[in-house]
Amino acid sequence: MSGSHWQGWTAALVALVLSCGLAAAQAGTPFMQTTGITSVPYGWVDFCNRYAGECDGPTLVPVTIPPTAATLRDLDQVNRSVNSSVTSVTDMEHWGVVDRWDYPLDGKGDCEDYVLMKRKVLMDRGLPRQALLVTVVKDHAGEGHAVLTVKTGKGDLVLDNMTDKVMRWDETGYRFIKRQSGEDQNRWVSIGTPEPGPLFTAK
Amino acid sequence: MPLRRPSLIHCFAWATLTCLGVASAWAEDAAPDATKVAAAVQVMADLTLIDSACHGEAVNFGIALGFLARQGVSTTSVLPGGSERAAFEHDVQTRRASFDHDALCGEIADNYAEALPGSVTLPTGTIRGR
Repeated sequence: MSGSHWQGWTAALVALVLSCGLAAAQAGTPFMQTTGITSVPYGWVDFCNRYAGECDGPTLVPVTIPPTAATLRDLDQVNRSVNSSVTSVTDMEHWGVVDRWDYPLDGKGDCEDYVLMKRKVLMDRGLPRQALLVTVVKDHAGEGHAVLTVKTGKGDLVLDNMTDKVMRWDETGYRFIKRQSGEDQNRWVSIGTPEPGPLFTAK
Repeated sequence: MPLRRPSLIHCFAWATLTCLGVASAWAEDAAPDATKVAAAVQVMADLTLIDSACHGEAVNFGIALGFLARQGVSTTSVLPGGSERAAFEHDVQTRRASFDHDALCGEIADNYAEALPGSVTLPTGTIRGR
């Protein structure tokens, strides 16, 4: 075996160890570790083009929400009510495209549409935009999925159309890829070890 | 290339924007008014129909959401579970039944493109018939 071949294997092994190490460190911690600016999902850009004004706004100071009983009750209620009021259909069935981010105006949508609606409802209820972050993950099957991360003093909580239970991010079993930054909703940051995001989110 | 002519349906849609006072409300910061709220919800319903039925036209919902906001109505009010949802769904159903596809994607889309600039972008090459 050549020297360069060994170097390649060594580098891959080191990367794997570092990657597993970071993932293990993050599991069991209440807050996500972000690791720098990354690409903005196409779906978000497209949404902003079709919903002019919805993505505007100044850069803000990141905040976490105090985890009061009332706030946690609100999160639970919004998660449940949106999950039950929107009919789940894939973007391909709905629009004939693989991925389209939208408010579920016609009552139908997939994961990111639930996320956008929950975010909007919670902002209407007075929660700060900086603490409500659209987040891209890979689900248990390794497929692209979107959830809403809510930054609270109790940890990063996840609102998910796949479950009515609001969970801390590290309890979901998902692999977190990227999310909006707390300061600027049009800048996205990697979570944990940067890795390629899914081509689309479709649950 | 399609030549779009005014029709009864076109005039009906035009009335939505003018006679009901929506066009003037757009320019004013008027207090919430039931008629104007109803008209703004109707505009949202029309744009939803155009978006779902017409492949050439590009709909920008931000214009309609701004419209609703000017009437003191939040975006979430027309989403499932919202306070205006029943009115919105009623408008979608009745207007879907009363507009045929060609009118919706022709005269009515045309009308919105003109009356609410930016709300509907017509396909390249479309010639207006007015």
